[in-house]
Amino acid sequence: MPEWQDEIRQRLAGLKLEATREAEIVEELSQHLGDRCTELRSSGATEEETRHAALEELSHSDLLVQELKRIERSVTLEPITFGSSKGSIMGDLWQDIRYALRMLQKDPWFTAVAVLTLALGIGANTALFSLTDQVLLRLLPVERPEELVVLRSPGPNPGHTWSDGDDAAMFSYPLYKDLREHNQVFAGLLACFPLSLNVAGQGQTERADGELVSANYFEVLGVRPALGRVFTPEDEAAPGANPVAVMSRGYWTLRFGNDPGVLNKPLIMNGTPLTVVGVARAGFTGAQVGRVPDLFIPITMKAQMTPNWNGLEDPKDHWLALLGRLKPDFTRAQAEAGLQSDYRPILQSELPLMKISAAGEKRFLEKRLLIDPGARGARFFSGMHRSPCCI
Amino acid sequence: MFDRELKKGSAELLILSLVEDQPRHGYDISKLIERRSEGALRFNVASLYPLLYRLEKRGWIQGRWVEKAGQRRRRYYRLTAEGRKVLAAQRRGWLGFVEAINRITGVQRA
Repeated sequence: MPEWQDEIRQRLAGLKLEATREAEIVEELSQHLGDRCTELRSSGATEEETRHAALEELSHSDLLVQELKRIERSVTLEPITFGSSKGSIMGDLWQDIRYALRMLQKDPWFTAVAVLTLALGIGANTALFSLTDQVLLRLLPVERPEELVVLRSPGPNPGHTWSDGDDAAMFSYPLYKDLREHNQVFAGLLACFPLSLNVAGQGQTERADGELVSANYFEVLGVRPALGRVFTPEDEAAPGANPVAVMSRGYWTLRFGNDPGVLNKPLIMNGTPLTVVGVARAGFTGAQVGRVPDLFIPITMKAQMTPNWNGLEDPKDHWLALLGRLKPDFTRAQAEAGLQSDYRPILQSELPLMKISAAGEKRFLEKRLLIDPGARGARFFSGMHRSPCCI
Repeated sequence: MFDRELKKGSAELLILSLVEDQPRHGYDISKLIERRSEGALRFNVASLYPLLYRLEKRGWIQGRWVEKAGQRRRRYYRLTAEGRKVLAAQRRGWLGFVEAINRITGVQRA
């Protein structure tokens, strides 16, 4: 067969076919001649007769070339002239696209790997940008986010601290209540804590993201309900006495198809029935970076929501992120200076409960309350994600 | 044996008919033409393949390389949906043409 390939290739040389196309035609035609030779040999023809008959098949090769020239569009090789304005941009572009598609079609494995690589690259970049956007760029979707501040208090935290990032940004519930009642600088101060929920209802149980929040949470953030009501001070009356919940708009849509019938119906959350009293307005995604709660529950339901750990009334349990809205007249520096006189008496009142050494006492009482910008949300997770995003 | 122009006029119909039921490679098509016409019609390499490529270019047949175990790969041609319509039309045309010629020349089937 190889000798036929050379014969055929010689005859096609003048056509200037594209290399792959020429190889295909040569292969197909030489196979035909090979088959013909095999057939002749098996019928008893001599080698000379066989060769003669096969060449006879190519006897009208001028016809073959002529026909192929008409059918096969050979590639016109034009000299490349830099800066030449010949041809239209759209025409060239269309030609390039068709050429690219032909090349991709020829090698499906290469195409698959290339497409997969591009998809992974685009996906990874999109995910990273989304995270960067949430952690570093996007303001909380609440009223006047620039007035919000996050509280921190570096120094000893006797007892247990629950955080995934910055221990100094975690406070106990008793301290939060004291600070909320006794300060001159905040128009409102809220507390929140993220948790996972098992939600049972409509005959099935599923995981959801929850948030234990102070009763003034929605009021401080300026978030109104889309349906029913948000929490009022009565929803933080006493431990275990407020079995209610507010749903995020997204969760209401996704799980309940915007059914208003969900209102005033109980949902079992972590084994405790809580009555849904409202749905937060659309677009509200919570006060913590990188986390979108599905359900909001009063902080006083702590023991029911985390049955293995209460710590609600324990000043040595530091677990709440605090977010304040500054009064209009205060700058952050002024507010920080003013807060220390409110903070010190609280620390002094807590000191006897802390059971720490004399040296530790001094450091404890010297703790200051610092204010960081809070327009992008509380720090429960942001501190952890910020550096990698900057890199 | 037959006039070249007469053969040329019917070549498309012959090839389309032969790949109607199953895909066939070029050599198979040429042997079938030779066998079924009892040697009266014969296409060699130079005449058969340009015709196959032309039909493929028009989208009436589609060629595809097929590899079978223990054999070298071969290019099989199958009839496309478009080709099937063309074949039906060409069959009707051919039949009408033959009948008209018969009527004029008085040639009758024995």
